[in-house]
Amino acid sequence: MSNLVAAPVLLPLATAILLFPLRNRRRLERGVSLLSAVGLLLFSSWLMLLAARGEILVLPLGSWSPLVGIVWVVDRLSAVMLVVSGIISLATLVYARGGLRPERETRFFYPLHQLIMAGVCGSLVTGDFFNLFVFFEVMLIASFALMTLGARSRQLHRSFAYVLVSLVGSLLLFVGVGVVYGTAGTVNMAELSRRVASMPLPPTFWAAVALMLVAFSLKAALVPFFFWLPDSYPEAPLPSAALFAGLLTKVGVYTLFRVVPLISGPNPGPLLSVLVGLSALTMLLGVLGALGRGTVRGILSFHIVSQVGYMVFGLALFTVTGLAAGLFYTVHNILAKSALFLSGGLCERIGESGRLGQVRGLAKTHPWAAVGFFVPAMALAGIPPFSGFWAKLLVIIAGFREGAFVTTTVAIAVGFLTLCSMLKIWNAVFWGAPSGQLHPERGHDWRMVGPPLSLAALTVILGLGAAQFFGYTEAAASQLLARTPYVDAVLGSPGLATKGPR
Amino acid sequence: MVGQGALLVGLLFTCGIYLMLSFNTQRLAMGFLLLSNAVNVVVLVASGIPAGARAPFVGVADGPQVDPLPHAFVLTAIVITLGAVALLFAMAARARKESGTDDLRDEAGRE
Amino acid sequence: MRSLIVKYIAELILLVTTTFAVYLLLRGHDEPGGGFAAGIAATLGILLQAVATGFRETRRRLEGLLRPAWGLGMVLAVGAAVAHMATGAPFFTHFHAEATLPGSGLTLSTALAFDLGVFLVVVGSAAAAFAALSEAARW
Repeated sequence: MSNLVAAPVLLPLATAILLFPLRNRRRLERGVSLLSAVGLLLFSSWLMLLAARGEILVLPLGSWSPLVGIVWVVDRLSAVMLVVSGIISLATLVYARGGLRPERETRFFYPLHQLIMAGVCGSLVTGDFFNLFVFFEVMLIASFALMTLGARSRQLHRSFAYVLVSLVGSLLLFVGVGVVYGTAGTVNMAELSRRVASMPLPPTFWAAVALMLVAFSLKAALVPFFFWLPDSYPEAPLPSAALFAGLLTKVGVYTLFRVVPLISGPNPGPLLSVLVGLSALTMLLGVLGALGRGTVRGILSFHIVSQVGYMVFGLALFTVTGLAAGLFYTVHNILAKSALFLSGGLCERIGESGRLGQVRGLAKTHPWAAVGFFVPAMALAGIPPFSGFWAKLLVIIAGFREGAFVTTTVAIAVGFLTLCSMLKIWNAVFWGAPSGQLHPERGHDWRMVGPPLSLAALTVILGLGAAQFFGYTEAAASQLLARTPYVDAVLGSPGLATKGPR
Repeated sequence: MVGQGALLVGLLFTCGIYLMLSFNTQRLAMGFLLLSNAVNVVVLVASGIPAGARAPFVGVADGPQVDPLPHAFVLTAIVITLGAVALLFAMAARARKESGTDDLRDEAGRE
Repeated sequence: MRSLIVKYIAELILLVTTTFAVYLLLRGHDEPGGGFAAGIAATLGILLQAVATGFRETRRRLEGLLRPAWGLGMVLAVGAAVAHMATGAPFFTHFHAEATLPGSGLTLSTALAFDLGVFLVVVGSAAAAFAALSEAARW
């Protein structure tokens, strides 16, 4: 039992509550939210230090037994995701000051940002499917509000599809959770894992699990559930778009990493081969879509889809190396993708348009902004020595080792196509003689250049320290695949109430 | 009871999906409302029918009691739906104010 | 539809729904009721009031009460959930105590703090949502 587990959820939640009445004092509001983001990062790092030693921290809410109550759990997987979320939250908040159009900053931007973080962190720590549904909703509803902040009518119409698809996805998850409870008698992940392993469950149960997996794939934007993403993400305000791009889909990926090992049952073969096939399609369709887009954020949005394919491929291999590679990829991608959205957004602010060819020659006039784009772009394409090279290499090694030749070949080919579309942006926006720079001074604002540069530096560090970090993800992967440490930690946790409240 | 539940769910799903196939923002919001109610009924029916069981309150006589957990699930889901539907209608109203139409196609064609 | 009859009846109904809401709130701990149901009941009364006398009028009368409700409720609810962490108990652990009000047969328990918080959040946010919608609808 450890209340430390509650910190990453409570801190953003409390900050959000505090920020609502402060909404007319801009300076105070920024200060408080930055402070809270730093706090979140510190708490998450502390949790990661504990988790790195192999500890699994469990918090039964209200001292109820995990069988009927809610548990929050932090193991290696959750901890590393929490830390990365903290980093992204901080980066986007620093960026927000310069990156938001003023009318968007006034209206609840900061409290909504904190609410999203509460939802994200809650989804990362919860050990209970129903609670996961609730935190998804917290995250989604806050994200809807952020997306439509100060929106023009085109943005409203575009986001309508996103909102409806996400809400219907959540309904699917809720049906799944309800039927799982009806057939297996619990929604606690650990207990469910134990029951799946020890007793035969009716086909209805598996149908419900399938529904839940569909809902998670929808959040993760896996093919064939990716269509909502490329139209809606470019419509969000800049800093929020980076937050969505980096974190929201990856929370879906995280849930797949959490859930598939736990409840795939004694015979996961068919599910895994479906996932392998889907991940190949996801990589391919995402990158092809990106080649056809003509705006910076449009291209980057399709790449989110493509990259999710790699992560799920790692998971679908279902070996320690595969899972570890997938997790490595996820962490690398969150950093690189957010950096790209932030620096791509910077170009949009300079040229007042995201169309390729509108603003040119930024490499000459804004070298630091160019570095902030170039490094994560090369990382994303998988050029050594950046983190993406190792991430891709590990996934490919794991793929060949498992004999998934077709998908692995696709993964390699998609790497080249990714490089092509990154070069397309580079050539159009950064290369050539400077032109179309309507507000060149915006590109020298350190609040907008700093965050993508720091994230880019992190991908370099991750690339240089790849061996150490892979050691960590490997340990996380074996913890996931072994199942028993997690299950025992949750169900055998001390501090259970002998009686509930009356 | 299960049969009646299934009928109700079927009816709600049919109406909800019919509404959701429209391009009208207000209809879409109402369709979502119906779908979420359908889902709530599914969860209640799927988690056991309280044949002769009592509500689990303090001081109620002995005998079989209803499992309160699904009810808690559904109550939570209702609260969330309330928020989501309010947001959908707000978006629909706002979009109408901005563009003068409820139709998603009009706006897409105008670009 | 500014009928005098509707207006006065709405006034009466507001009294009834608010009383009913308080009743639901107080018995909610171990009987049907609770913060959410009470909040919805109270909101319905306010809504009827708004339909009868117009949103602007209702807003003018109740804004001072409703505006701080959301924040106050959140603070109460989260505070109730966090309070027991000070002694090292897990988050959300309920610090249980109750007292019977002499002469009324009414039992108040510490769970009421959380319920009251939920009640305020529901009333505050529902009222805010309707206010925003009525604003948006007047194009």
